[in-house]
Amino acid sequence: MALFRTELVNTAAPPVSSMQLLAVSPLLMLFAGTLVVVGGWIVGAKPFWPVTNLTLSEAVVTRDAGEVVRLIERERVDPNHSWPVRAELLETSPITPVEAAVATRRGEMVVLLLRHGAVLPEGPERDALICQAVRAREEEVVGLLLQTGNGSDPRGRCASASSAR
Amino acid sequence: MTELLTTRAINGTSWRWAAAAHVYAALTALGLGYFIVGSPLQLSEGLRNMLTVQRTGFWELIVSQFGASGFLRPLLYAQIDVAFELARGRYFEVFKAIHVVQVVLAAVLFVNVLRVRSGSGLLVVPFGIAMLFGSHTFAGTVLEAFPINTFLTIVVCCLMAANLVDGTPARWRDIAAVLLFVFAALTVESGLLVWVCVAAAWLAGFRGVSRSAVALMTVLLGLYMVVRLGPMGAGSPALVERSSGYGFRVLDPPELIARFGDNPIWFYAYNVITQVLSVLFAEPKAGVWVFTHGLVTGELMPRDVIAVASSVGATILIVWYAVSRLPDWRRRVFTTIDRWLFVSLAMIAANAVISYPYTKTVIVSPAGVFHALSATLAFGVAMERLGRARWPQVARLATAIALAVLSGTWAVRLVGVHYSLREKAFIARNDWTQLVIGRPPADVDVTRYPEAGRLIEQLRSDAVSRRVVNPAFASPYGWRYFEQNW
Repeated sequence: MALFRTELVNTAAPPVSSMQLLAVSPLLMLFAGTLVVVGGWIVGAKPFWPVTNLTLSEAVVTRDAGEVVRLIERERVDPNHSWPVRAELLETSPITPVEAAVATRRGEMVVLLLRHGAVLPEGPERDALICQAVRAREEEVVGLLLQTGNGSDPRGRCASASSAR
Repeated sequence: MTELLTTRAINGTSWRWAAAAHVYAALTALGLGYFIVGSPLQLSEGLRNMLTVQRTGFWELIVSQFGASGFLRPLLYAQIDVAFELARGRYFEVFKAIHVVQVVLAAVLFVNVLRVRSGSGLLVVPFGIAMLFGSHTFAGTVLEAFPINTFLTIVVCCLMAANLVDGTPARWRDIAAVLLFVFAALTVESGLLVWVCVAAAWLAGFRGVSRSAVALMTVLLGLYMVVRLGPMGAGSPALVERSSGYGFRVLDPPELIARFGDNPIWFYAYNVITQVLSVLFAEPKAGVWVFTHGLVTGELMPRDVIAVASSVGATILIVWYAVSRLPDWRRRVFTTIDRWLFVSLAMIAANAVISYPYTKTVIVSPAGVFHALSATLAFGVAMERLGRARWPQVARLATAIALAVLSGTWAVRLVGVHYSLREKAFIARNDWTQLVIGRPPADVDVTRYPEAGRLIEQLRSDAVSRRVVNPAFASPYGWRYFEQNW
């Protein structure tokens, strides 16, 4: 004996009412977006995939490590050059990628840039960069920068340099 | 009682509505597929698994998995190996194609269970698909791939089982069900849910798969347990193997051992209960009480409110339906929708039990699918009453608006999955930059396996060259409204 009894009635369904349409209206609107996506995909467009062209320094500021590597490896962009940065991202522009990484406290970006051919400036510019990282309390970045160039440690001079400025 | 859905007979022009429902499902899935394809292959787990199959023979892989501790997943690597060999260097294209096909299959199989036969029935499909793809339990199946998403494989298997059980009895259904169970069970532990689906469906009155086949599957399940717990000694994962959510945060293995090492029963019970609650209410997520924490600390995010409101709304619909059916149930009168409700409850309970060792939202993705199925069927009943009821206009409008709000919350969650996929592409591409040319991962001996070095280079190069969306410029505040993957 079956545990359950079946009750299936296949009567003609009434036409769709306006209330029913209202109930699923948000999802029907969303489906219009789906059609745009699929249609765009078929014709080779890239709907809802807005790729922003960035300078190397902008890629650093926005933590776009993939774009940093693409620009250096594929586009042969110089990681030691100063590149413009949109005003909404950083006040200073143009700026080198390493300076941008220090200014925005992106330790991982400093590592990535040094690995991909970035070279720190020598002398006062190097000291200024290290002091900037000290003021930002980025210990990891400071440690990385201290290992570059002649290896000198300017941290003792940071406070005086800051007050003199 | 008239039903918009789940009537078997196709007559007149009803096949057109069924076809339209399937096309809608496939198109929505392809929309998701577009964002899946936009992301590079995954570095973590994905690369490791590909390197494993590259340097290990097919049979050696399968045999070695029978000796693995904590897990018994021989067909998991077998699937990756077959796809890897078939790809012949076009790894991105093949693994992404598999992922998209699985998503399309999931959508089409889900809609096929609904048995749409009318225009009104078709209107229920958008809600069902939004619940299927928009649920936090499903997100992990599209956001990650290792490089084949095993959890999505199981979701598809469970939906195949659901399609097999609901139909005219046939020998081919029996054979397919048994093979499906073997395949799923040996892919990942959640595959055992195929048996739960078929057995619960048989108990509920579905007769597509025969009693003999269910019995054979039960014997195979017993054999699996004996092999797993006996000679293979696979047992279950230890506390030391995974992080897991508990209370308001995720505990690392050392913390789990410190708290529950002596007696993990309470921890396991917590996992089972919270996984059930997560499917029904989207709170907690992976064992972490995200919404409650936000409420207590005053840091509640719109995304958490939307997630909980939509899941609670869907569960309320199911409860409303169940309560409305109580008089018939007392007289032992059951409809197809009632049977699916029974199967869904069994699936949710069993899926939660299977995930007792640790909580991760994607583990309960099959349960999430059946929650979506029940809620969609209940939504269909509500829509039917909305269309036919001789209620006052105000009452009908209020009901329509309430359902529209529920639809709206699920629409936001569905958009959120697309948003998360775009973000995932950004993260996946950035992950590859951790690898340095000429310096492969420490655990890969490229001197011994030079082809491993070439594979890493190819995948890294492919990932870096793909242009992805930078979240700093596109919808920078989307994270407030769209869920994170737990």
